[in-house]
Amino acid sequence: MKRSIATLSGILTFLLIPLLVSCARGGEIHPVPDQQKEVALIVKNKEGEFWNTVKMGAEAAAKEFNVRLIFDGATNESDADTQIELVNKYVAYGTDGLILAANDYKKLASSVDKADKSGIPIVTIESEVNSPKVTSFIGIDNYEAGRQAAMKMMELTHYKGRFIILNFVKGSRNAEQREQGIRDEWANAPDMQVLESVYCSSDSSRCGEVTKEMLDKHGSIDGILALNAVASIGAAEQLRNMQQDGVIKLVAFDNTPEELEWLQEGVIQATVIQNPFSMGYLGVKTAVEAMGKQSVAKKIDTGTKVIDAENMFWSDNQKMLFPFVQ
Amino acid sequence: MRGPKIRLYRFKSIQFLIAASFTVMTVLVVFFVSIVLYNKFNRMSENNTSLGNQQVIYQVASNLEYYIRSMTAIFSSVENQIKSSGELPNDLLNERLDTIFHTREDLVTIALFTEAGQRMTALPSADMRSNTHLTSQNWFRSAIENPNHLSFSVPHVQNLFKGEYKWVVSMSKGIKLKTANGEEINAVLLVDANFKLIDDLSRSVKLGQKGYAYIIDDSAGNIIYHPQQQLIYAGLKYENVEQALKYTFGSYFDDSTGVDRLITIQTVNNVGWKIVGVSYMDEIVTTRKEISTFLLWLLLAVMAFVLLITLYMSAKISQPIKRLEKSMQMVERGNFDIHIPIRRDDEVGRLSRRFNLMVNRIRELMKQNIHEQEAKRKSELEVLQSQIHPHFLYNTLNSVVRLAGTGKNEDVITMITSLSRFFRISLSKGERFISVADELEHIRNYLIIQKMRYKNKFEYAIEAEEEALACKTLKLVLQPLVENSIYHGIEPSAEDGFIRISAKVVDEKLCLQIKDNGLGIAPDKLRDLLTDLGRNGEGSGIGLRNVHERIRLNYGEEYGLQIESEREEGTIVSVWLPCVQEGVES
Repeated sequence: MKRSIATLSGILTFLLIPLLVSCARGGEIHPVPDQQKEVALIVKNKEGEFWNTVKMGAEAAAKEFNVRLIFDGATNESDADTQIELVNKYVAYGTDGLILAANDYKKLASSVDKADKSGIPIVTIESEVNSPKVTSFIGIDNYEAGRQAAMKMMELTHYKGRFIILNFVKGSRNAEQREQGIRDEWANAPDMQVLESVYCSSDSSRCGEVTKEMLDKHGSIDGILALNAVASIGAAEQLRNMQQDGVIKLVAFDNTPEELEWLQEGVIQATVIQNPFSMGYLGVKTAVEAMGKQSVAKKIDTGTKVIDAENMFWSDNQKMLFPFVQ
Repeated sequence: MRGPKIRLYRFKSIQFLIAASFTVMTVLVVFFVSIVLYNKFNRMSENNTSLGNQQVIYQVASNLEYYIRSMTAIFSSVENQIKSSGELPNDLLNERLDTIFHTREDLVTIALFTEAGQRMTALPSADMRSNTHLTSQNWFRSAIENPNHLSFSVPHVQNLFKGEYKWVVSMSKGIKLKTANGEEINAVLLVDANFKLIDDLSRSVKLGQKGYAYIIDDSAGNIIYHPQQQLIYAGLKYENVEQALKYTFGSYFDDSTGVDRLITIQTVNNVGWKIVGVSYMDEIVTTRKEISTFLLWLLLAVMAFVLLITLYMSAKISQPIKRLEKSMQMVERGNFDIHIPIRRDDEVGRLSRRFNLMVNRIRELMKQNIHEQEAKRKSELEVLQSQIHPHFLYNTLNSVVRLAGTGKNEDVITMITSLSRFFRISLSKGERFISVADELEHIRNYLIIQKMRYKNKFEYAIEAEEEALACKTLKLVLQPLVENSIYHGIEPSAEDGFIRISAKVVDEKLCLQIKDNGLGIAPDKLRDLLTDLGRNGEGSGIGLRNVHERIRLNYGEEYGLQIESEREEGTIVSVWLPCVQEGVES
């Protein structure tokens, strides 16, 4: 009996050793390739510089959270119909999450509802959609941004002057809110006079034309408030062409490379920046969290900042203004 | 039902005890070993990860150092070119610088500025931008403040020339140049490099699946390079740089970001940078999980294996015992013809041998017992047998006296002669078996005597088949029967009697028959005659039963007496014996 115990334990040891050795060999980390989820990002204008930075942020998040990112959008910031089509298409495809920068506050509401009915979380970035079904909104307080632009303009023109507001799309909620912010800020400053508010859509040459029309129409003005990147670039180009740069103060929105050049050149005196990279990143991150049934904040403010030629190369501001590409 | 009973039986068996204790013991041992191994593996994998990371980071650091050296070399070569070229601007110099500039894809700018920020020569050759604030930029200031010292800047956006805004690391140095008229002027030489090669270097770092490496500035902790630099810049990601700054090299655990991470640090010489390697503990945990799953399976496999082995072993041990038990049960039921085959010379083998010996001894004792019993019965019978003779002798001698008294000498002679023959055959040299012929002769002499005693009250006839005469028979079986016939059949009868004695072979059995025409036997009496019940009645049955029992004891149950009788008609007594030929021992 004792001998058989010894024999048995001997056999067991011999049995154990090769198993352990095989464990040591095969015990390296085997990544389990889980089903990669898919997130569709639908932007206002897939060719725009601003949206390119949004895409960069989204890609960074997609890489970090291991999801497949589909980047799509309209080619014109006033084109809501294409966006509706796209949303419906990706919902029908059965994408796992949607991130939408809506071209229209109201028109996309039904599409958002449809996505919600299919159980797809829908995160809006930059522009809101009039639907309670939106999972989360990531963007800035546009009213506050308008007020900041207005304050900067007051500072630049010493609280006195005649101004035009170069807005982008009529009916855009962001545009309306920004303009409202400006007008409210200036309500107590009677010397800050808004001559006219015009819309120039998402074509910078059209914005340049509109700028020229305004200048021709109103004669000498003291400043232009351009409420998005396209309008800002159009106005800056026009001012440079008319050699009015520096004379007519230009407060812009956003930080596309072109705008930054105009800023350094002194054509644009100041720009109110949102954080498009963060919008893209947080959009994907929030969508992934919502897909994972985690609770997400209903609203995330990415913050705004007023940048002028003086502070644009400050270390902290560089990091916000210029996308880091190798 | 049977189930629980069987289980109870199983639980109580040695087999179960062995199997269970073996399994429990082995499982405990394996479990203990597993835990020890698991902990060992754990520590090993952590150590390995830490060591491996240190090696990787050390490798990256030396690669980076090499890169920095090559950049320094380029800077020196540019500096030498400029110093040796004399008057500026200079076409030959531009050409040479252009060659250097275009052989390296990581060079963004090569430029020379005066102390006042005036451009002396520059690549790319694009126009300068306005509002560059050149003289207040860090790289310019540090070159002016520390002349003749090559300084590396933190990453910044290069805003000097028209075109793309690029993130660069600037190398700058304050140098002295001689102008054509022999004057010495201070100048700042700038070489900008982008992050292409640093990025390539960093990407080659493999620290598990999610791990990465980043580079910080030793003095202020600024992040020089990070794979997710934009996230850091946008404030979406955070690195605990303060902790990393405390180390020159080595590793530590960090959970400031909410996840356990292993941080490995290595300082890059010359440039004052540190490489920080980050690997995630949950990947080590994955290995840990794998090990524990493996150990679990191992435990199960060993358990199954041990269970099989112990079942086999315990069966091997308990089976001979079970066999022994079964044999004992058979002995218990009375079967002594059992021999257990002995297969091995172990405990059970020895036990089996003892058992076999014991059964043999019992068998012998039982045989002996039977033998003794038989002998006892026989001696008893022989006593009975011997009792016959005095009784008969007494009667006969009485008759002889009476005959002699009446002077019938002839009859006396006949009677004495017959008596003499009768006894000769009775004795027959002490043999228990005699031939049928002798038995018939014996009975004839007996009948002669009795016929004379009963004054010819009966006649008799003796007949025998030739075949029957040669058979052997137990001696003196007929005499008690004939005696009965005379005493109980013929004597009380008013008529003349007749006794017929015959011997024949029927169905290979010897049949001796005594037939009389006497009173016959009452049916109720006849029924009990040969059984024990008859023993209590008058002495008449003793002779019959004695004969019957003698035959049965000697030849077996199938032989013995058969009596047929009818009142007033007579009785037939058949004696059935085996037909044993002369010379053959029974």
